[in-house]
Amino acid sequence: MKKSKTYLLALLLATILSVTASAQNAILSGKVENSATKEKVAAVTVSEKGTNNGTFTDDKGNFKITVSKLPATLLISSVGYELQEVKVNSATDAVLVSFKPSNALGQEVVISATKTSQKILESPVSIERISTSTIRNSPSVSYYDIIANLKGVDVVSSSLTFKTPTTRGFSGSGNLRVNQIVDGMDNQAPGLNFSVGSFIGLSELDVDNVELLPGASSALYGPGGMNGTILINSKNPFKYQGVSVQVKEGVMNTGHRFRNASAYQNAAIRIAKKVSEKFAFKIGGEIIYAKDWLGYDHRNYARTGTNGYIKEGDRATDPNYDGINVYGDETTTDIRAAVLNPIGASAAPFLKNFIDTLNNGRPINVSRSGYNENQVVNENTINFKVSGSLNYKITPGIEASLSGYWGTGNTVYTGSDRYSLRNLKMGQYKLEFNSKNWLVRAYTTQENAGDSYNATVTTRLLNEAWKPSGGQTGWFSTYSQTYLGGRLNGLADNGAHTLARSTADAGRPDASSPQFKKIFDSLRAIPISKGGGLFVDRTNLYHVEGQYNLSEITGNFADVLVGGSFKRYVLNSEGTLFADKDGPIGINEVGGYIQATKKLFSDFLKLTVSGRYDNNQNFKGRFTPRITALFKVANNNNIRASYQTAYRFPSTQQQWIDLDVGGNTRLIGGNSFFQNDKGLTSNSYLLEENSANIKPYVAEEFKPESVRSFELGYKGLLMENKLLFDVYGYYGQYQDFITRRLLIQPTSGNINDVINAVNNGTSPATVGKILSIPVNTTSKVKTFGFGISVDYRLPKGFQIGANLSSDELKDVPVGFKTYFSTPKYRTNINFGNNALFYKQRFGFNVTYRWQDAFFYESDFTNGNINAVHTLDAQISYKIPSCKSIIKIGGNNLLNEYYTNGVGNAIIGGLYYVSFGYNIF
Amino acid sequence: MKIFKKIQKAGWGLIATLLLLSACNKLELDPVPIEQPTQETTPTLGTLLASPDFTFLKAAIDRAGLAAAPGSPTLLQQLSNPNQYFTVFAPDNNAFIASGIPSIAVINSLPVPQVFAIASYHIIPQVIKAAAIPSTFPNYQYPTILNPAPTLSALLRLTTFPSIRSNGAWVNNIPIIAVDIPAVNGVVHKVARLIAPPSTYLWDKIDTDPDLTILRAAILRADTDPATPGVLKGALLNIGANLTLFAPTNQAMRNFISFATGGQIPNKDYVSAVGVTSAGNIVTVASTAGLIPGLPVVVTAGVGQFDIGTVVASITSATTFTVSKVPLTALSGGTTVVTGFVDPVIIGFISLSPALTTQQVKGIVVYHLLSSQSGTFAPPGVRVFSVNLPSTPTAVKTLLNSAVAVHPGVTVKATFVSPFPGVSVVAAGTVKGAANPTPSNILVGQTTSDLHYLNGVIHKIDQVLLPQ
Repeated sequence: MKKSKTYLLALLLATILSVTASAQNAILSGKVENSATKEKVAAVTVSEKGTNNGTFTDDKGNFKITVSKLPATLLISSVGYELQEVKVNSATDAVLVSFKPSNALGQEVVISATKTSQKILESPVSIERISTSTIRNSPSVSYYDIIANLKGVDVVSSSLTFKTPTTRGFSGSGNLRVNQIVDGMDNQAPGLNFSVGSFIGLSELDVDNVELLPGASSALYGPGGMNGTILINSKNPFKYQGVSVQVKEGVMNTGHRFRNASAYQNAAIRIAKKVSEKFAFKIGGEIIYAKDWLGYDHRNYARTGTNGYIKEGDRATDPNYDGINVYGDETTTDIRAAVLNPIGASAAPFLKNFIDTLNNGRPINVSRSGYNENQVVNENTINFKVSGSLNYKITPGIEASLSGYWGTGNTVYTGSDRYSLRNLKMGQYKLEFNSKNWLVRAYTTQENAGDSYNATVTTRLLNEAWKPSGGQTGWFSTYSQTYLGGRLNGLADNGAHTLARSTADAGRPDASSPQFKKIFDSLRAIPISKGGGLFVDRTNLYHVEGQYNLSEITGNFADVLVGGSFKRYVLNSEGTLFADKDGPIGINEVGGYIQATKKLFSDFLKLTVSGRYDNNQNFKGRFTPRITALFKVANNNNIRASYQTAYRFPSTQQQWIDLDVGGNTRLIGGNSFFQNDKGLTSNSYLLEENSANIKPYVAEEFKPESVRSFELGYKGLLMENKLLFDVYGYYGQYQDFITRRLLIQPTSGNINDVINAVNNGTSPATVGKILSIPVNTTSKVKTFGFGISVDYRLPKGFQIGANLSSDELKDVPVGFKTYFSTPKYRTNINFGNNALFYKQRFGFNVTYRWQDAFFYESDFTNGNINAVHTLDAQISYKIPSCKSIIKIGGNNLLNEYYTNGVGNAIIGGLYYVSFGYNIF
Repeated sequence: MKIFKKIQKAGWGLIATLLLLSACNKLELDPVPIEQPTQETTPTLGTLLASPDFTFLKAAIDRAGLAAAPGSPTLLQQLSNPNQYFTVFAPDNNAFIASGIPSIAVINSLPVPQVFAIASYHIIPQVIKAAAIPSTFPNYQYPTILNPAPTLSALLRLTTFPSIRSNGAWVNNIPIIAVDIPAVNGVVHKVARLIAPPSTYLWDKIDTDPDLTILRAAILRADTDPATPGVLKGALLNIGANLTLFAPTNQAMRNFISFATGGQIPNKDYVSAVGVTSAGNIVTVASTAGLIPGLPVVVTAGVGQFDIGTVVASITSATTFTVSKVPLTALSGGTTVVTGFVDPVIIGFISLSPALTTQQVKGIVVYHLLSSQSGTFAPPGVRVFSVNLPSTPTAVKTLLNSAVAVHPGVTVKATFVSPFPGVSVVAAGTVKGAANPTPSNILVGQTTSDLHYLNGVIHKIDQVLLPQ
């Protein structure tokens, strides 16, 4: 306590002295403008050479800086401009800086690779960066889409506003193996488990930069970053000031294939003000409104719990048709066993022989008629997000900030089913102190699923509501008797099924009818646990972390960084999503890390050793080391090598989910609680497609999964610094891979019932309860791949870049579902110029992306995705006099519809015109 | 500058190439229909039946069409629909004539519902080529398109029993004389006679055949078993049943009773010891000794027997019954006393309780009913026409096997003759009980064998089958 008081006193004294000293300084003011276009340049760093004095230009390019003495030398710097020194002799005249744009490559500074600032060329691990200028000049309608064009990135788009990027394999909607960190906060919805960066993240106007660490990255960022960490950082109000506005008006669905043409509307505003040298604030928001891309895969799916495959057949030719994006048709039964055989056995025994001959004696599986996605999922996607912060500099070197980020809206997510997320709300609130050497951060994530519902479950219940499936007058009974009657009248099998369906469907509410709406709306408002489709989730996360850079103390030996964190999840779904009927469930995690960096052999080698230990109350602690080496083979030319590890504690859902997904199938967690709760210690068997492999289930320890990764890379400037070349190769080995297995508990207690059902092609769910449980695989799965990129600066401001990357999986045991879901190859090519023609006010950018065909695996669907080509382009025109830019652009320019995940959104062209004011 | 222009040119060229490439997305979203076999549209069954061989049948089908409800397809339209599939057991013109219908004019004079029933009974709503006709004992039942009571249930159907053996093929007991005449929507098998659709139940026959009165009494007594009250009669009246009854004639039953009782009951028709008087429709039975409560008392009055009442437990002496079924006076033609007799054998059978228990009677009755191969009464049951009997002695199970699973059943055998090439018929048949010294003869004949009813077939036999 005594020591603390001493420090506080010293701090106060330092502050007073600083104020006293400032009274003797000179104040300089000035303006920075682009030497070529005469635009005022905002957010330029203006500092006094040889001191710590510094400031930024405001949105009009003006700056005011207090210098220690005159004459003073000002350093003017900003990414995209040449560093400039300006000598100022007098404080009386305003300083006018003609700032010369620079075409230099590889000058960006990144932080995430080591949690310390360094040039991107000197990063010891692979890293990608998106800057504000990249966002400004990109043809992508959303900054989040730009991530897809980075080297080695795959994205699964569940909807217009729900996108999940992944690197180095294991792509999927709501991927759990990629950390998304926004302003230092984990952006994952703590209960729903998906990252909501594209939905409830920063507004585009507030994004300063995006950094992407491909591959394993737990050593610094904690559990989860097995396939990459994306860090999105917002603009500091001290640096980026003024009012910024951006409006995008667009049109989409112009193909009229799935929806009629509809508007895309996006408006964003950001207001930031440096009130004084100590206090600044910002507030901003963004709203998006559009008719969402539609899940429209109507191929037939043979579904068993969370597994299955695409097969032939449509509604007209397969009575058991189960369309991928058709809902309600998952309800299926073998009408031979359920209805026809009992008829032959008692009510009409004279038909027994006849019934026996139907479908050659095989099961006659029939599904209920379903509804298409556009009939059960709200087509309007709305996304509203607002964020702000109050920033206060306690001292010139210590800044405190209180920030809030809140978003809501409608979107669609793909998990084991399609989920209509309606009025989903998530707020993140953070208090942070940081200085040059340390930071302390505390935040909470507050999640509310709002009116979100499971489209499949709700639609199945709708079918039950208008006509129950079972019973003597139920849908299947009506169907079966009509089918039998049709066959007895000589109808061909198909004709009898058609007749039976039309008879059983008599009275089926049309999707546009008030009856449908009334039933559906009432069902989606009832929690799943109470027989509806609503999932209730108000799970929260509380997180505290700190970091200290000890380099000033340890610098003689090595630069040392230490940190630690504590987080607590409070699962609260009222029994609708988790097994928390009896009250919220708490999960605590604690971790700490240390990193040491040492330059050796006259800076030829920079060696960094990191290690992190984390402990989760439900699992044994894990240590994740990382060793990196950077060889400076020449100026601006570095070879990097690294050994990284990462692991992931099972997600909150993988630990505690307890969700009935219909069809007598339930998702449960891997926590040992379920062993007794679900009676897994008896009458529980592993359900396999090959009945010979069905065997009793034996519980095993549920562990975190982990990956070890080796990487070798090179990044450098070549050809007189006009070519930036980056290449890497990696090899990764996954252990204790978490996947799901299906168990079955036969209703009769006799496993032969299940075996017979499997052999007959009947849904096992008709003879037993299916449980999907997360388990670790014993096999070690290996991945390897490479990435290569070139960026070349052409004369006259033209830029061209291309990248190619590859990811592969090997040593996959036969029949093992990996969820790799990643194309072997993908490439991006871009070409553009931001200063063309009249006073260099025109610009354009064209981006082409190709990804190879691949096999997509998820809990919702499995199937092939064909190769995808997309072309995005924009043309812009700057109006410097009013600091505005007009952009006309198009994503997927040729409106060639594609999807990057079976059963997910089908994406077409989106064309827009945007107007931006004061965009930095 | 030249280089720049070249690069710039290359850039635009690149854009053009990328535009082309990005037009290559191949999106697979639509379900792929399961390929249906393509088919010709002619000839349909309807077309085939227009052949000169089938003019009688065509006339019958045309006339049956008059039974179609307005807006519903006629029989011919259904047979001509390439999307409806049938097997037609088609009697040619000669078959009609051989079946007693000498001309189309006769067909056209018959009531439409009758013609509709006959025609429909020849049509099975599924394609059964000759190779698919069951060749194993006994046979399978195939529903026809004939629904005897559509208002009762849309799923009711009368069934036929196609079978094929080494010595021929039949549907019920009608020979099939040509097979597999193909059509796009089915197949035609030519038959030698009309196949008459049944219209009454087995019990109806047992209840009204004067030569089966003792069997009837035995069935009723068997049904007094408290464990299975009324089951046998119920089955014999159940359209869902599918039975084969080897029915011992009255003489066979008398022989058995005499044998079983050591001659206690004289083997003659009437016994004066049991006095029966009547006045008006009142019949008095002088002695009720040995009568079993709950059983009917039967009076034989020359042309038939009639239930006249039910014995109640309190009967100990002469009892008066009121004839409720038919006034006896009507039978006598006068108002005086009718000469009525209680069939002594029936009374005797009833009164045999000391010699044969109800269980034993039941055992004997069920031994005359063939069962499923599983030895149970469960569907689909067994309906064996004489032509289905094997030509070598073969043991088959009876309903007794439902109680005594290991019982050897009865041994059946038929002798076939071929009246003309390609056609085999049964000349003789036997069925032997396990304890019978000699086989019982199946009384082959139009009125004694292959008697077909809604729920089974009866073959009269001349011995009671003894299970042990």
